[in-house]
Amino acid sequence: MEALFALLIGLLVAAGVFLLLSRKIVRVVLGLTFIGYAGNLAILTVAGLRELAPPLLTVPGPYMDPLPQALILTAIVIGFATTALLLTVALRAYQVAGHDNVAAFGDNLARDPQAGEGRFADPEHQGPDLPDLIHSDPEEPPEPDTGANTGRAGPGDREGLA
Amino acid sequence: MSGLSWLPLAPFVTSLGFGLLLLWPARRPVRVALSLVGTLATLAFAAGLLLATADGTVLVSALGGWRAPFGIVMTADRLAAWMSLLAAVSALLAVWQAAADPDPVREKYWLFALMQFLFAGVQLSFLTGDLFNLFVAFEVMLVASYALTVLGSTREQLREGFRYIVMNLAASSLLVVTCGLAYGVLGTLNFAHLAQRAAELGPNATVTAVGVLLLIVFAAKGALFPLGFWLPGTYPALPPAVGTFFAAVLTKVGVYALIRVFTTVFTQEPGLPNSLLLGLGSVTMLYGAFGMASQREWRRILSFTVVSSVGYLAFGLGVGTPEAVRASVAYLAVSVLVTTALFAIATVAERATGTRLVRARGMLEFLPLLAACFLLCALTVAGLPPSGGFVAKYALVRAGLAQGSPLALLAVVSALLSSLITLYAMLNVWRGFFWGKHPAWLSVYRVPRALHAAAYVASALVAGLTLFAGPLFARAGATAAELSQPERYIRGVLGDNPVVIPPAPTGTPKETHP
Repeated sequence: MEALFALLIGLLVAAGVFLLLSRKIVRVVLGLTFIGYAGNLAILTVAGLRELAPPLLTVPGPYMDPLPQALILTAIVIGFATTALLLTVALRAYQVAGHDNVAAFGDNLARDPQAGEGRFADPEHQGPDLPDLIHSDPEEPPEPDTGANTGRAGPGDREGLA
Repeated sequence: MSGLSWLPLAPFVTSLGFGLLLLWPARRPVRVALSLVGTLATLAFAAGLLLATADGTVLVSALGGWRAPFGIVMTADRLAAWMSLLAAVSALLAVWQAAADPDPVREKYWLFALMQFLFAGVQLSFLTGDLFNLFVAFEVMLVASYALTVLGSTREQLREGFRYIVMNLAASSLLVVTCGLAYGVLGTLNFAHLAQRAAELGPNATVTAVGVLLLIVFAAKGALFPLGFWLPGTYPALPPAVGTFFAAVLTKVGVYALIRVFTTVFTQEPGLPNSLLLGLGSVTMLYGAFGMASQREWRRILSFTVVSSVGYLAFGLGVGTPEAVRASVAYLAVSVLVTTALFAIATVAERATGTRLVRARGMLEFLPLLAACFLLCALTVAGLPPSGGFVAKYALVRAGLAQGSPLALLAVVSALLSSLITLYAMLNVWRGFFWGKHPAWLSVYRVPRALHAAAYVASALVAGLTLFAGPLFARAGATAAELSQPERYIRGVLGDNPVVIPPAPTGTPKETHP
């Protein structure tokens, strides 16, 4: 039984890591949830897997320690909340950039049309933090309000919140 | 148990309560006042903890009235109270900055409430006495920090925030698994009880493995070298006030957890974790120092000083002697305060020139007092004589030399080298921003007086570190002495006659009632 669980946990972690290394944002989120499930199963396995042993002291016979299940319950609730939050961030990134790829976050060093010859990666000449037109879906143009983001830290960095 | 057993719970509950209160839609002055009052109350409770633990008392509050190994306990010993106070001081300055710098959009989306939730999570992490509760505290802190990181939705924030969130969620999963493993091996999660059982078991490979897993988790939270890649990008993307608190305190939570775990809980086989900490610490110091020298934006340079300071702390912890722990505890105070001050200075500097870059030159003419503050903080970060940073770094290096193992000597060399590079990087900032002649085409903007004041007050605290280095080191020495005798912590939490749980043939049954 433990061996089976160990295999299952290994499989889940492997799938999770594979998905985590993907470029699609949603896959990254799914990968993290897989890793979370693997963690929960690991706690269950470490605490001991035993049949016919309910976590009840009033019943005669062998009984399980209920604490690991309480731990898992807490971890599930927290994992649920963080996944929801991460999905919200992913959705926001999709709205800002117009496509579901980690390239959505851009790195504004390389894609500045105004930058001079050979100065693309110069931190002193960063491009404006504009939506990425090269990678975005032609059917779905980026929302107009996001064009106001300048990405500079100066006094004017407030327009981005929609 | 004394009548002060409610005190370890107070900082957390205060921050949480004011955070909930701030969700009520009120006008800005009301919200600012509530934030300031809440943070001041937290600070007062933290100061109370510091006084109450000064004589070596370990304050314990048992949640729900369940005694230590059964229920969740909040504990405050000297170290926890120390960290709680430092976090509260930094929190107050961060709220001050946020109050002085109106940001209507972010404030509409509960900036102040989220900051209080963040403070609540940090205080809970410092004052909890239970490994799983530490995970919960981390999550409270991190969820608030995720929200604050992406609040504003600029592309830079989303990019850096997403990386930060994914990194921390992965580390949190590892922490959950490690909690499960610790419970599987030792049958408990209470720090004191874990320490007691680990001591009964003696040197044990499985326990050491659990300890090393915890080291990896806390290294990721504290941004030790290979796992700290998210930090230098994330902190500059944050709004200034929030960035100040993040930089000053959040990595220190990871460091605190490392100190707690390796001086109180898993003390049986210190060899492996200590060499790991020494190795990673020496690389982290150099990484931070070289990063500082390579950057040209104010808060990017300063983010690398945060990385570097974590390296020094890991070095002190890895040396492992009481003198080294004493120096680390003192350096914690130096690092938290000087980072707060430097980020406050950077906020004013960025606002005065309207750019993130350090290239204005000649600002000495316009901001003479700020220049003086920066010089003091720069000397403190680099560790030159008239500053508290020198005292702490000197103590660290001396402890490393006294211990004398090859790895410790390597770390000493790396510490000295990285201090030198830090000095170079700081002088570069000085030369690029304050020195020289101001170009006429660059305009200088007016910065709110209260923002200036926050920078000055934080710098005054840094100066205070030098003036009160004696009491600071006395307190640090007492803390280190307490940490070198985990029995006192164990007895303080579990009581003089702890409940003995008899081993059972099947499972690990619990006593019915304490």
